[in-house]
Amino acid sequence: MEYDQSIKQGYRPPLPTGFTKAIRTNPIWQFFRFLVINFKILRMVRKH
Amino acid sequence: MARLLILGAGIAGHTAALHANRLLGREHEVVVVSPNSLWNWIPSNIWVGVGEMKPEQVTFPLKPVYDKLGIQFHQAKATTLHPEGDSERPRPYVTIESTEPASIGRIENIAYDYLINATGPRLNFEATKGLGPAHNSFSVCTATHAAETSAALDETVERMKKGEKQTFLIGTGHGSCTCQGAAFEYLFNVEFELRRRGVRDKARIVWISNEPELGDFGMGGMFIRRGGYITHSRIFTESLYAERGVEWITRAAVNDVDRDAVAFETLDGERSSIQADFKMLLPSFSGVGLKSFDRSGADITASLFAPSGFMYVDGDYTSKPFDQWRPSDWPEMYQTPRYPNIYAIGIAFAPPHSITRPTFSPSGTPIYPTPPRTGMPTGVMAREVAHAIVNQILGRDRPAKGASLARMGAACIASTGVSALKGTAVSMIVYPIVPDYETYPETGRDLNYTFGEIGLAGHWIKHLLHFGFLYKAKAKPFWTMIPE
Ligand SMILES: Cc1cc2nc3c(=O)[nH]c(=O)nc-3n(C[C@H](O)[C@H](O)[C@H](O)COP(=O)(O)OP(=O)(O)OC[C@H]3O[C@@H](n4cnc5c(N)ncnc54)[C@H](O)[C@@H]3O)c2cc1C
Repeated sequence: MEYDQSIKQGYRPPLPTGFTKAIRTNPIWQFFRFLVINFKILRMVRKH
Repeated sequence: MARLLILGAGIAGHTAALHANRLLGREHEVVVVSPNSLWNWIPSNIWVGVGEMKPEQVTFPLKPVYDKLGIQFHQAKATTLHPEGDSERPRPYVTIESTEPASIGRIENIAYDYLINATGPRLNFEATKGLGPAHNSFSVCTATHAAETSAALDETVERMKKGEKQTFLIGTGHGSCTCQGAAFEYLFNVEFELRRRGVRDKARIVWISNEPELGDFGMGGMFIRRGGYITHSRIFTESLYAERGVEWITRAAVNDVDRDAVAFETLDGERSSIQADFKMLLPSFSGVGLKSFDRSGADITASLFAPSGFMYVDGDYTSKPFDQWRPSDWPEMYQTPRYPNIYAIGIAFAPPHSITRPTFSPSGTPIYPTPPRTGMPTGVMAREVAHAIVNQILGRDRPAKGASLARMGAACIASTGVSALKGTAVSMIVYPIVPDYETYPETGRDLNYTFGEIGLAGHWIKHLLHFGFLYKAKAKPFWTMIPE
C-alpha cells in the first residue's frame, strides 16, 4: 500500500510570516543574532 | 613510564589523545590505534553530500600531526582486549591488526596501563535489507559515502533538468537509528540545493524517521520559550517542513530498501511502502565488535560489552520502566566497573537506556531513536577522561569532574542550506542533554539555557565550527583555546 501523507497529517502547522522569513537572512539582524547565539553557547559551555 | 592506549581517532579518541599528550609530557606514552589514516570532521560530511565541499576539505592525515606531537600512531584496527594479560604476558594488552597498505593484516599486541575505547560506531547497514551504498540507498556517514552521494545527486538533478520528476526519501533506515540531526541537515541541504539548481518543482521530498514526532532528535525533543509560550520543538520543526514543502513520515521502521521503493512498518502496526528514486537513509549503529578475554583465555566479552557491542561503563544498566529513569542512571566517568583502567567514550560507551520513551509496534518492533552522542558532549567526555587518567598517572589527588550527559549541555547547529548570505541553520542549545525532571519538573530542562532559532547566523556559526575544529584537530598554535 502506498503511504498517503495527507491521511496522517490532520492539520497545518504554523508558517512563518514574510517578516520572519526576511529577518532570518537579514545580514545586520543576523550579525546581532550571531553575537547572541555565540554568547548563549559560551554561557552553556561555562556552566559545565 | 605509563602508557595510555587509545583505540579510535575520531572526535572522542583524537580529543583525548591531544589533551592527554599535552598534560603528560614526554615522560609517558600516548599511543593511538585507528584503522583510518585520515581524521574526518564528520559534521561537514553533509556538505560533501550536496557537492558544496570535497572530501579533502573535511579530512586530513593523522600521522603528521601525531609525529609532530610525539604521539605514537598505529594504522590498525583493534580486535581483542586482554585486560588481565595472559599466561605469558602479565600486563594488559590489546591485539591489533594493521590496515596500513605496506603491512596489511599484520598482528601485533600492544600493552597498556590505561585504555580508552573510542572506536565509535559500526555502520550497521546489514540490519536493514537493501540498505546502504553497497545496495540501494546512499549515506553521508563517511566522507567517501558523502562523495558518492553527491555524484548520485548530480545525476538525479540531470534527470530532473530533462523534465523527469523525482522522489527523494531522506531519514533513518532502521527502527533503532540515532543521529536524526544529521539526516535532518542533509534533507534541508538537498532541498536548498534543488532550489539553487532550479529543479525544486520536479522534486517530491519526503522525510522518514523513527522519531515519535518531528523535532524529537533522539532526545525527547525540547521545550523553548518563544513568543510568550513554552513551546515544543515539534511545532518549530513541523513549521520548517511545511514552509519548505517537505512531507514527513514519523514513527516508522524501514525494513526493506528496494531499487525503487522503501517498505516500512509504523508504530500503529501498519505496513506501507513509498516509491523513491533517491534515498539517503542512515543505518543503525552498533559497537565495532571487539572481543575480550581474561587471563585464562576465557571469553569475557559479554561482561564488558552490551549486546549492541557498546562498552559498559559506570552507568546504571538495570532494566526499568521509563517513569523510573533517573539522571543518575547516566555515567559520570566512563570507566568500566570490572577494570578501572579501561574507559569508553563517545559513541563507544553503552548508554543505560534511550532518552526518548521506548515504543514498540504491535508486532514488537522497537521504533524509537537511540540516544544521540553528538560532537560537543563527545569532546567534553574525552577531555574529562583524559584529565582523570593523567591525574592518576601523575599521582595527583584531584577530584574528577565527571561528564554526565545529565549534567552537561549541548549546542547543535543543524545546517538547512549553504550560502554566505542566503544560507540558514537551526541553532539549538539544550541543557541538560538528558532531561532532569527532578530539578526542572516542568520540561526536564533549564529554560534559561535551552534555546532554538533558525537563521543565517547559525550558518555562519556552522562554518566557523568547521574551520575551528579542523584547526584544533591539527593541534595548531593555541588549539586549547577552542572549547570542545
Ligand atoms: C553525517 C553525520 C553528521 C553529524 N553532524 C553532527 C553535527 O553537526 N554536530 C554534532 O555535534 N555531531 C554530529 N554528528 C555526530 C558526531 O559525528 C559524533 O558525535 C562523533 O563522530 C562521535 O565521535 P566518536 O569518536 O565517538 O566516533 P567516530 O568519530 O566515529 O570515531 C571512531 C573512530 O574509531 C575508529 N575505529 C573503528 N573501529 C576501530 C577498531 N576496531 N579499532 C580502533 N579504532 C577503530 C574509527 O576509524 C574512528 O577513527 C554527525 C554524525 C554523522 C554521521
